[in-house]
Order: sequence, then structure tokens, then C-alpha cells
Amino acid sequence: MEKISIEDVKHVAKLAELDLTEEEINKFVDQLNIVLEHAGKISEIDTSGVEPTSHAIDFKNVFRDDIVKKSVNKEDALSNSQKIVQDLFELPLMIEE
Amino acid sequence: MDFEIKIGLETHVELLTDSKMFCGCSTKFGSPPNTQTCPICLGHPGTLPVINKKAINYTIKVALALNCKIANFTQFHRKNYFYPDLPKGYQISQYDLPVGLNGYLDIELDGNKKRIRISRVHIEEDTAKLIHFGKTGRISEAVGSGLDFNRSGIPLLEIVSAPDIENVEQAKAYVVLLKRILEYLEISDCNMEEGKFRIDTNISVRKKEDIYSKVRTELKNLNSFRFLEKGLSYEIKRQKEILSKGQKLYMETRHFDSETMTTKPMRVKEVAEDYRYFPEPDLVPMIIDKKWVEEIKKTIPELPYRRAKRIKEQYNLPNNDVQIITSTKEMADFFEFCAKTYPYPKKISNWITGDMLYYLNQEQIQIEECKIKPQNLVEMLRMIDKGLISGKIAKSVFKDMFKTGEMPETIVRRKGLEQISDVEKISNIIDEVINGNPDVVKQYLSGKEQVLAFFIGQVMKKTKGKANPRIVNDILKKKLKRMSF
Repeated sequence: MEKISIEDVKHVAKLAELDLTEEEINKFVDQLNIVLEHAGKISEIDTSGVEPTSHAIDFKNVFRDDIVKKSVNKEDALSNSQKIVQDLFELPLMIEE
Repeated sequence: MDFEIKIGLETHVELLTDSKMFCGCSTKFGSPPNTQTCPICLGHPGTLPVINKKAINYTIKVALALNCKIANFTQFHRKNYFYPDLPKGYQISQYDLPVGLNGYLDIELDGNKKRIRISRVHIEEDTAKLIHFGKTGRISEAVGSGLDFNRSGIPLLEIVSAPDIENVEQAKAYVVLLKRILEYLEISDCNMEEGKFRIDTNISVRKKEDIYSKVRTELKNLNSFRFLEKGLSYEIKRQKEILSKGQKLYMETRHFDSETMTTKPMRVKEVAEDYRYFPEPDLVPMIIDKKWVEEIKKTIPELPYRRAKRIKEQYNLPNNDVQIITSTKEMADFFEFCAKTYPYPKKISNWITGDMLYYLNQEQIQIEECKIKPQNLVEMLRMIDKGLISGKIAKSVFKDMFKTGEMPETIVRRKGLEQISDVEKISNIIDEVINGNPDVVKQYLSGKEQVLAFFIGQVMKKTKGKANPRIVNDILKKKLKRMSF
């Protein structure tokens, strides 16, 4: 089975906006390989003839009607923001992307 | 040098549902910031989304109208990326199993039909709205930014065309027709200024012989038809120039700057996009069976192309008229309401494409917002037919109707505009004019017949334009003829 490399961990860390030290990277390479190896046991099972599935429960078509419900009030909505400006969640200064 | 141009358009459309995609918050536009939110659309951990069925119905409706195949099995995926407008760190979107696949849209340019393939129609959630403070509100000059979550979670439709578009005119025709169809379907109000209909483009220019080149540029921020035209034109020209110099193009995302009407590169991405899509564990898949599709099919109205064709044949109107009348569903409805109760379609069309369009443009409003209703116009046309008002007076009556919405009789009575068809009254006025202008009479009698217009003008002046022109003409000619003996 393919193994997770240092490069893989760096790539995933970058995508997740994480700054990792060399030490942490090495630690995660080992840990993730153990996880992957464990999950890889599944491939030992013969699944020919089994439809691929994305969910463990056999539910389909769970919907709600298009009905407006009361929203939370503005103060509660903003209460988790570190800084508020003009009733908006204030962001650190952004650079053009 | 011969170039080949390929353009693909990606259109995002906010759906006209009352509540959001995955929660019951209102989608109303223009409310004070952060007053239409809840833990679900704020992206709080541990919350569970539930699919708005109407949004799925609308997605099926659009996919059908764009001739797509409807997926029997469809589901949501997580698209993972970091951006401040996306509080969860992922957008709930669709990936390899969208609702609609492989459709098409036939556009028409100068009488030539061209088929633009539609790759996919899928449904996702809109992101929060970033507001930049600063002189211009643009990110490059922002001195600070804030987030409004009212938009977060509004159902957002994505319609992706294949790169079948070959020039700016086709791109515009595609977008205009697509928008018109969506308006006909009544699934979005497609207001571009409010960001409910947004266009991103992919442009690739290559030398004809360079058949393996797959380099393309993504162009964003084309928020009006005009910007779409300007942005695409600029980008095509820029790419051609680079290739002509023997230089190379590379993959990049560019931003349209509406101030300079040019495109500017955004930061070149160091790593290729990697969204790590996986099936959304919080939402179970959907099965769209035949019965469901048939139900939605019934809700699709006659679409613009078919309606235009039928209106042209049924009412025997010229292409130009048909094009204007069917430019919006409401205008076509207005026309057909009139045509139901009034037998001369061309006369109706003349007024809609003439004075009506003029005043609508002047006021920058749509036909459904104006005060004239079909009954007003039909009544006015009947008054003209009966000789109660002249065509010229009708123009001023129309203007008043447009302002007040009053019925034409009311306006005519109030302003004393009834046409004078009384032969004796007109005859007397003509006598006055003839007697008052002996020199002009002489000219007429010596064979200068064009001075007849002068007499008619004088009669109209004395009657403030209310004399029936046909009667004036008849009597005048008779009287002058009698004088020549």
C-alpha cells in the first residue's frame, strides 16, 4: 500500500493553513501511516458486487419545506466575533488574492 | 496569424426561495447585516443542515429547461477551502453527481443557430458577503473588511457551459438567453446589481496549429452585460497580442477592473486547487424518480424560443417586434393579454415596441412595474379605431396613462381631447382658414398642391390637433376643388 510521505503532510498542512514544525511533521507522518494502514485492512474484504456507498444509514430524500423560521438575533449572531464593525464580523486586513 | 478562441461560462444564480438552502433563515435581500442568520448558516460546529426541497425542485426545473439529463441518484459533496466568507471551511456543493448533466442551449445570432452545450447544472450554498471599507470598496484599497452572513446559505445554482463559445457576441447571446429562460422559469429574479446572477468565464486563445494547448484564463467580476463584453474583448485581445509576439500564456485567474476596463492578474496560485471533495456526511443522497421529474416538467412554462416562434406565427408579426415583445415574460404576457381582447396584433405591437418601450427605458422600469395595464392600451386602441381620438392625441393620452394609470376615457374627458368629427364644425373652421389665406389659395389653384399641408396644419392649430384628419382632408380638397371652377 502507498504510504504517506513528508511531502503529503506538508501539502495537507498548507491546505489546512497549519504551521507545523519539522518534529510535528515527522510525528504526523508516522501517525497518519498507522491510521491509513488500519483503514487499509478494509481492502482485504472482497467487495465485488457491492455498490459503492457514501453513507452508513440507508436513508434517502430527507427534505424540509421552504418555510422561513425565526433567525437568531443580531447580538447573539455576533457574540462569537472577536471584533465587530458596523454590525459585521470584522476581519484582519485582507490582501488581494 | 489564425487564432482559435474558446470560451466557457460559469453562471451562478441565487434561487428565489423564501428560506435558505439548509436552514429556515430568510433570504430577503437588503436586510440589516447579520439579522438573517442561525447557527447553521453561521457554520457553528455540531449543527445539522436539512435540504430545502423547493431548491431541489428549482434545480430540476432549470436542468430540464436546459435539456439536461436528470440524475436519478444525486448527492452533496464538501468542497474544502479556506476563505473568510466560508465559516465552516467547506462549501456544501455538488461534485461528480450533480442534478443535471449534458444539456444544451441553442443561441441565435444573425439568423444562425449555434448550440452551446451545458456541461452541468448543480446546486450549492452561497457564501457570506465580504464588505470592504475604504474609498472604493475594492479589496485592493480596503482599510478593513467585515462579514455579513445574511447571504450565507442562500441556495445557489451553478450552470456550467462547455467551451463552445467562440466570440464575445456568442457569449453575450448565451448569457442574455440564459437569463431570459431563468426569468421565464421564475426561479430567480436574476438581479445582477444585487449579485443574484453572476458570471465567471474561462477564456482560451490559441494559435490554430497549436492544437494541444490547454492553457486558459479564468476571468472574474463580470457583473453586467457591459462588463462581460468589455472584459472578454480585452482578454481576447491581450492573449492574441502575447501569442503574436511568440510569447507564452499561462494558467491564471484575472480580475476585471471596471474602472480601467482592463483585466489584472490575481495572485498566481502556488499550489494547484485541491478541494478534497468528499460526500457530505450530514446529508443523505437524493433519488429523483420519473414521477418527480414529470411533476416538475408540468411547471415549466412555454420557453422564450418557442413562445417567440408561436407569437410570430400566430399574430403574424415581424421579427423585430417579436424580439422586443418576448424579451421578458411579462412583456409577452402583456402583449398576449391585449391580443385576447383586441383584434389587431400589429397595432398593439406598435405601441408596445414604440411609446411603451420609450417610456420604460426613460423611467428605467419593467413593464410589470408600469401603471399602464393591458386594458388601458386596448381601450385606447378602440378609441382610435372609433375615431374618438386621433393617433397624435393618443400619444399624449398614452403619456398620461403611463404617469397616472387612468383609463383613456377619463383622460380624454378631463382634458377635452375628444376628436372633432363633426363635419359642420370642421367645415366652418376650414372656411375660416381659406378666407384668411387668399394668397395660399391662389398658389394651390395654380397647381402647387403641396400647400395643402399648410391648410391642414392651420386647421389642426385652430382645433388644438383634435380635428379628425381624414375628414379635414376630404372637406378641404372638396372646397378647394369647387373654387377652381
